[in-house]
Amino acid sequence: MTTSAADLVPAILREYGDLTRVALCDYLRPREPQRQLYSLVADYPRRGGRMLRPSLCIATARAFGAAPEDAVGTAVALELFHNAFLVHDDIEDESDERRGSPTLHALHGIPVAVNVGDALTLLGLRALLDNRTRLGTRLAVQVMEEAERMARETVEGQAIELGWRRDNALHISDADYLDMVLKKTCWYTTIFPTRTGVLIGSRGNHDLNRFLRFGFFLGAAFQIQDDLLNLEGNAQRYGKELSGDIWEGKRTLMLIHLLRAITDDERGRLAEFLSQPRDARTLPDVQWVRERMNTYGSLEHARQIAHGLAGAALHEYGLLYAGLPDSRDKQFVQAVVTWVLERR
Amino acid sequence: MNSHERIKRPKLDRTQPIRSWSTLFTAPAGPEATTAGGGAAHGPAAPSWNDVVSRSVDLGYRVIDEYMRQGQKAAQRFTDRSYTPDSMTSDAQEIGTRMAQYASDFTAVWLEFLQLGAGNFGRWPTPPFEGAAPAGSASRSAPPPPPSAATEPAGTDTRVRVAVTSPYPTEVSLDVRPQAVGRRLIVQSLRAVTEDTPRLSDVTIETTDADTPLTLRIRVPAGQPAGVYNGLIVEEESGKPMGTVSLRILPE
Repeated sequence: MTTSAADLVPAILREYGDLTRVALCDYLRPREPQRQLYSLVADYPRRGGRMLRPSLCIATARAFGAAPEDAVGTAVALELFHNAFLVHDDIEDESDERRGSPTLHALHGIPVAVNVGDALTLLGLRALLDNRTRLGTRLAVQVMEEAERMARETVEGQAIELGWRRDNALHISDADYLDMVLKKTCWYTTIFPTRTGVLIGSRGNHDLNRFLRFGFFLGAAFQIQDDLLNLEGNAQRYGKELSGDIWEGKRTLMLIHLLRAITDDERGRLAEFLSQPRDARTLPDVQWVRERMNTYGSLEHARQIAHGLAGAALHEYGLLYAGLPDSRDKQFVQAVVTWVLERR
Repeated sequence: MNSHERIKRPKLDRTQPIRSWSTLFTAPAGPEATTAGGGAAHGPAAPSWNDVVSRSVDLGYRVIDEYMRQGQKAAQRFTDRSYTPDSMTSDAQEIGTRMAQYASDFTAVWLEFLQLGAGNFGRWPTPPFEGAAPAGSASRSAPPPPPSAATEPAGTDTRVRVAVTSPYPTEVSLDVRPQAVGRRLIVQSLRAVTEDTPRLSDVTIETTDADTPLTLRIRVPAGQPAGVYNGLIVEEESGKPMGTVSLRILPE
């Protein structure tokens, strides 16, 4: 029985997500200091998540000829790094909710949360070292090199975005935004999973640079859709507070568009709103920003860009995957492009 | 007269075919959707769907191509350290050499890691030409291995001695499964990716007992083209794969 494209993505996310979660348990086992560290380390990973990144890594590796077990160590490392980034991001963004519950720093304070994030990073490193047994030293080192680059690109992207907020940047172009998203989101959400999947599946015999474009277009479409869901999604399914990005003054494509589209007077009010610390912003102001976005079509503008980028991702997919034998995993990678825009 | 009143066609909702491929994805939603393509309530008219979509694709390609161009420039700086013709190497060779360096650095770090963990693991020499190389499952300290490695015996070290006779500089990469210890092994001829490159057939692996390191011997004849050669290590009796050998011959 064949699975339709619409069912394929959830089915594979479940399958490879479970595979990753089982392997992840080995790195999250209770040990001392349990109360102060390891129970907290396991908190975010156990809150669930769609497992897009690990699934993309495993599916790509399989599409290129590897066994799922060859890629699961890298998938686990990726998930640990992802959760480490989330813990630190939540502090940096002053976020209140993560996956439907209070953020780690809201529950335990910033010093403890920073330490938990560090521990998650080290566990991710451990998982990459353990790759050596399965993949051999040379391939494991290549995966580590990819991970080092991914982490570097991610912190650079985060630095750009934090700098925008610190300096209250008001003149950001769409190209600036895409450049930031390439580093901050695409590298660890789509580029790293794809490139390491290819690396493992082909045993290092493919030019990884060819996969940069695909990962960028897919990751950027994913991020824009994620930002749209923050404004208009289902709060329960989204797992974060709605309009949280406006509360945080996050420079999303919608906010960047709004800054361009509004009148001078309105821009003055918006600039003043953005210059305030988060706890000084008020609900009426947030609602005003959200309403202005509606009025000026900022969400629609961002949605159109996301669709354009997704189309480019499909084009790049056709160039990269055409030579591979047809498989469920290959179909999954293609279907993910549409799925990122359809998720609610 | 009513009976002669001309019948008029009702006004159409649209007068052009829908050609926007973007509706392949989800339809626009949200309160602002009504203004899409028709201009915002205030300010200048918004561009059409297709305008924004094609511009965003163009912009996306410009961003990623610029990023890749900068990456190439950065990589170029690595390869521009020496300018004499003899020392100039191709990008691929440079990357290969750097990879080997990283692999050896990694091995050293790994050794230190194990020494810290085990306290007595001090017999870890360096690979390429002659020496005993770590392979297969180096013993690991906590945390425990993922399920995929659960069938492999924990805490065993496969020690391998590698002897390469070659008129050219070479690098050897070896993966041997822990189960290979104590079994009779053979190694297949090493093959390049391209079919017309001659194979390296003078490759042997000697096994004695579990306490003595495996010895892998490779002889590279004069005239053998530079490149990467790979071969499989199999158990003689069952033919089951027990590992892989990869030899890179660097240009002189």
